[in-house]
Amino acid sequence: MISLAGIVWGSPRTSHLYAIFKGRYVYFGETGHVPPVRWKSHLTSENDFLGKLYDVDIVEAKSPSPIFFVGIYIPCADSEPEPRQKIARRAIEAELHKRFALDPTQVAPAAALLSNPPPSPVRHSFSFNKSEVADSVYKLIAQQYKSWLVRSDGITFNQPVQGEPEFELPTR
Amino acid sequence: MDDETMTQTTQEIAIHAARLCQAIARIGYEPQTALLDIVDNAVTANASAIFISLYLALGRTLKNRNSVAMYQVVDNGSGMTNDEIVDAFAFGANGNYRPHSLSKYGMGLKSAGLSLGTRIHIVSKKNGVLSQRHTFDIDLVEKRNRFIITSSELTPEASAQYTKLLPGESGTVVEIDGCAKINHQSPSTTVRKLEEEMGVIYAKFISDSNSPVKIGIRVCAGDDAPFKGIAPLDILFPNGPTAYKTWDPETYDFVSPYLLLDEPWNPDLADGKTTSPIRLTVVAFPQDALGKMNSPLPPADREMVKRYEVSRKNAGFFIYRNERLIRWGDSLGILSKDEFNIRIRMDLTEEHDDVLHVDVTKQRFEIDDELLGRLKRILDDPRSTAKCIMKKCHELLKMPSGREGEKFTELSANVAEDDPEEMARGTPPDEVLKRQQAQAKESDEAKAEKGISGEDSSAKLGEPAFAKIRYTDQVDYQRFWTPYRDAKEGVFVCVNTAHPFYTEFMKGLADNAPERVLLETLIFAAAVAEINTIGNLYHVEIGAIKAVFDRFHRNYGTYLANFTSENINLLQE
Repeated sequence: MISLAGIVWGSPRTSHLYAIFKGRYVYFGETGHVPPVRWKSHLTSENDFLGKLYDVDIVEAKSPSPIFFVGIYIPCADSEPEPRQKIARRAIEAELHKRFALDPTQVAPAAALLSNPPPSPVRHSFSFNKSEVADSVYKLIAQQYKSWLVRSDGITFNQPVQGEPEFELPTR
Repeated sequence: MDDETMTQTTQEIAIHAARLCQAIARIGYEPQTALLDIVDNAVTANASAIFISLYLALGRTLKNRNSVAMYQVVDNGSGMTNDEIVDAFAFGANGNYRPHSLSKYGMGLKSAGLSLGTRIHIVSKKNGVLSQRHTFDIDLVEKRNRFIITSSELTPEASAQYTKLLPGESGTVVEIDGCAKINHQSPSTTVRKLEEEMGVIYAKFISDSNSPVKIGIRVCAGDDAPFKGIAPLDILFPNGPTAYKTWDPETYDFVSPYLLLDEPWNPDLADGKTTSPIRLTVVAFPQDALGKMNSPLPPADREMVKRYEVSRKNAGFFIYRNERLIRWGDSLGILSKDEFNIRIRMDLTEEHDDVLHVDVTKQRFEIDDELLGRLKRILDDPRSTAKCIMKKCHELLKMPSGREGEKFTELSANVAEDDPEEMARGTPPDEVLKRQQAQAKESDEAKAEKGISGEDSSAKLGEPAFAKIRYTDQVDYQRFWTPYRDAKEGVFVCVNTAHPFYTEFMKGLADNAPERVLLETLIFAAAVAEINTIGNLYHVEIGAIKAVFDRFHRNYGTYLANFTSENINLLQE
């Protein structure tokens, strides 16, 4: 049978936060583009999601368990002057990491963080409340992740064909 | 091998009573923490008044080590019957604590008491009935090598004495003596620490609007000294003197405490276990120096900052267990020694005892690396903000405040401006008086013509002062400064703000910086010397003196200008 593997939409060059889940691992990040542009490198770069997962848990990295991606559009960051949009996204991303540290149970069974929180740009003030935005983003990520867990329950993810691992970094 | 498959027997093991007592007396109490553990029992017993007395041994003072003859803690809590007192002396006593009790292992009375002295006496009153006097004597335990207590009927005198201590329907007196055998800090240290810390430790209980707890402390040296009451103090200052503000780098006010985090932390335990959330509150305070004399803040704000007592000792994690502070200013290995303007309150309950491995004294605990890592991530942003606040305060302290010369005026208020050559002389000659009048006239004319009145620039809140150093561009070209003599207030100096030595060097120094004040002192001293010389050296013709000083100033100003141009980036280097 078939099952939905995800839908992505969004305008190019707009601000997003995103989360990536696999097994008990989670990664939070930000991008100034529609998220798949950034997600590609999370499956191919040694310094991003899959690369870090290889470093900490090679079994999970090579396992056929699915990867879940979720992107959240944050127009408030785009309302900042252009040179500050990246700083605004990083501020929310830092807050998002804080939300996870305060209450990781919202995204259980994911419990191990792979991303590094960016330094918080505390010298900047924004036209939005970064803490409130991050709280909404975290709740939406948790909601989407949990509903996907329910939807994907029972779906079998086959072992990759011998010699062709499903997730393998090109350099490894 | 499975235990059940093996043949098992049981046998009782020996307990060496005296050695066990010695051991529990040495689990890490200082006198004040031991006394606080006994106070905890009084709070647990719903006392509304707790009085701590330290009785000095004969001939000893507050400053001598080991000089306490007896510690006494009196409370008006629920009290105990004779049987209940005996039970309280049991090791691991009274395990059925009500939720959120300050007690934990049932060891506090013995371990805290035996860390203070060799004998613990308890007399209690319950439902109006006074108990016997029960004594746990470590010497007797050692002699018999058994856990025993002695119980004595009260003599009429003792009964009257304890009735006086326990005037209500219920209450308890705990007395510890045999203190001389234990090496202790001086009682002044114990009392100072208790006075400084109890208001913070029991702030919630003392300030409880429904059932406030009154705590008093005293030291008796053969007298019946009055108790000093302990005032509550929440070290995070949630109730003022100014309300918490929310961090915005554009509007930081250098006075208020800033609330940087107030969230429940849900520590994720292994194996899917959870526990109730721990409340985390983070507040950042302005730098302590803003409350000191050199602060550019107005006096009222300075006082406010001073009240926070921002210091290394008062920074870090303040960990509360059931609203009672158990850990004061711990870094938890997360905070560095420079982060002394941040206070982090962690609110635990007995539910977290096992997670955080709270020990018998309830003073120490351990957080595992995983939870510590999470806590560190949570605090990343508040810590960065607190550092930013510290930096802003530091910059303000170094920044000119627009009240140039005010500090010198303040510091020189009581410094005489007399000419040492004239001090032994009687009434000044007419020529001197004439010259002084001329100087006063010149001063008034300069004030009127050049707009250098200076009163506005030096005005301090509520007490305008005569500005002794005035910064103005109305000084003759080439001169760095010009002195004047006011008829009433004495000497004042106008410093040339157009002179390169000012624009390149002095302008960049904070108005209240010691460097600036010392430069002003050198200038002012020279000005006093010039004014006094012109006024008092009456046997030298005034025109000649003025010509000398005029030449002097041109040389002085020119040299400074040349030095400045040669070393233009001196302060930047």
